[in-house]
Amino acid sequence: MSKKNNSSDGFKSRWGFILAAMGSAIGLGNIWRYPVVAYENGGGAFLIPYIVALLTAGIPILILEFNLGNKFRGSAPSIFRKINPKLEFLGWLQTFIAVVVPVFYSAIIGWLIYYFYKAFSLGWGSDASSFFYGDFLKLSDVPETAFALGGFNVKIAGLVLLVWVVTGTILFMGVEKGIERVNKIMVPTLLFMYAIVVVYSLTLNGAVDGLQKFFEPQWSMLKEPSIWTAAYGQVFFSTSIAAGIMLTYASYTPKDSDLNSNAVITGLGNASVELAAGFGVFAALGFLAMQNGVGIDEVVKGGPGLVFEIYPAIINQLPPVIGPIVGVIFYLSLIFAGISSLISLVEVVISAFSEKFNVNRNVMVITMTVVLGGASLLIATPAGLYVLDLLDYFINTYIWQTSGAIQTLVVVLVLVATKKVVDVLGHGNKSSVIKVNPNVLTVILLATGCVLVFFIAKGVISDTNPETVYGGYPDYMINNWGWKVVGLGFVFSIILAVLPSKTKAVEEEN
Amino acid sequence: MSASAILMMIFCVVLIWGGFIGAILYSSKDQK
Repeated sequence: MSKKNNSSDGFKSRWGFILAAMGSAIGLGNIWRYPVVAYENGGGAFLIPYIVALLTAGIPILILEFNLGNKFRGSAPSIFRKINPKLEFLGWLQTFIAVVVPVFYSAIIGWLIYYFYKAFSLGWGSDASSFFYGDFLKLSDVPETAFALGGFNVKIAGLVLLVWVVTGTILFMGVEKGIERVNKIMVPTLLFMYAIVVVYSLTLNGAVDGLQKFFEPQWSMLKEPSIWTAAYGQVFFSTSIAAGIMLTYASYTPKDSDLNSNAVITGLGNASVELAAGFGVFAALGFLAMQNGVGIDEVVKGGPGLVFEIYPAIINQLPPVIGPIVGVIFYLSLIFAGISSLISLVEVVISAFSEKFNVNRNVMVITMTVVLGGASLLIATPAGLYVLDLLDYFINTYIWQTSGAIQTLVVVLVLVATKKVVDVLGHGNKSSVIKVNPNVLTVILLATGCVLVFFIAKGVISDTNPETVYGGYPDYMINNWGWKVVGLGFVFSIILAVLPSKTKAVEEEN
Repeated sequence: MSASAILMMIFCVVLIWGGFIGAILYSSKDQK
């Protein structure tokens, strides 16, 4: 089996696997993206398309990936290669996502570590925005040329390297002793800590006003296509699908695993944390709005702004002693959410390269930690935030969604053409409590693929129009950190797919 | 809070959190 070159160990318990999969899915996007996307897209009414998207895209794609991983066993490229040699390229496209995302994701975790430390003394001061962009990031203007990013911010570079030392150490310990054991501790701890923050937020003055804003349904918005696009986008990005992660993790599970139930639990578990984040974030925003005598609309902010500007402002206004405690718990839970997602991404890269080139896993862990850690230093520069923003947007919009579209359209059509639908999509039925109908799943996946093609087309139309180009960045930034990175992703995937595999086992199986 | 916001909140809690807990309980029967 090719698995032997990938890793000699695997998940030893059902909950070890579920917690690792949930740990991967539960990331920073659950907390800083979901509540604001919901608020901006119809409030309570958003929950209808969100649940539809979860049931028609999130959970079905998880079932597909768990079945593929468990049945074909191996890295993402080798799994697709076993379905059809021409599909290996898709596995490398997913690996490319897992190469680029950790470069900026690790930087954000580094920022969180700093804020965790500062939370003890509320060290960000009374003007959290100035502290974040000025004192901490030392953010420059958009650079005059794409690569004139300025010198390293030594403090951030040190934090980023710390994140990579922790990540590399966990991965070096292996799947069972590293990934499984760490997730078994980190995921329940982060859920417990985040629950404390949410429950405390609900007790604050103004919390009810915040919840009113979050849950008040604007039914008329259900007619808008944008709310459905936003719901599918949210479910797609927050569930860790189509990036090789769930394929790789599922390949480490025992053959008789309850795959379908595990997929349902992972999908609903991730959605449960998003809903909890909606409660916690809007209760806290209601408090902040009331303290400042302004409307909630004036304090709502998503993304890093929520975590590094708004939350410090909220924590500043909590009673003495309580503020630092809430801050420390909040940032520590985010660090855990980030690390559990980061290790899942890097594992995809380690698995893919060690299997393709028949390199010892530990050598590959060290190599990738050094290479990706080194690349992360790009973000530890005064213009790093712009690079992060562009990489995030272009990878998500073009590489990730293309990967999802190919996986749900081309891969599923290949299964149909080769009459393997029942064999592959029904694989989990043999040992799962929850049974799925492979033919119904096929139709759902194909429909989801069509939705993703629509998203990609919408992105291309918007980003090639100078009036609506993403972020209003100059052309040289969009071209170099956006389109060229997307192009590089496709070239990377094709070259690696064409290169002969050095793993004998992979050759033998094909 | 308005009645519609409360109803939406209950709907989401029952469906998502209830679904999550229900899936764990349902799938835990007959687990090896």
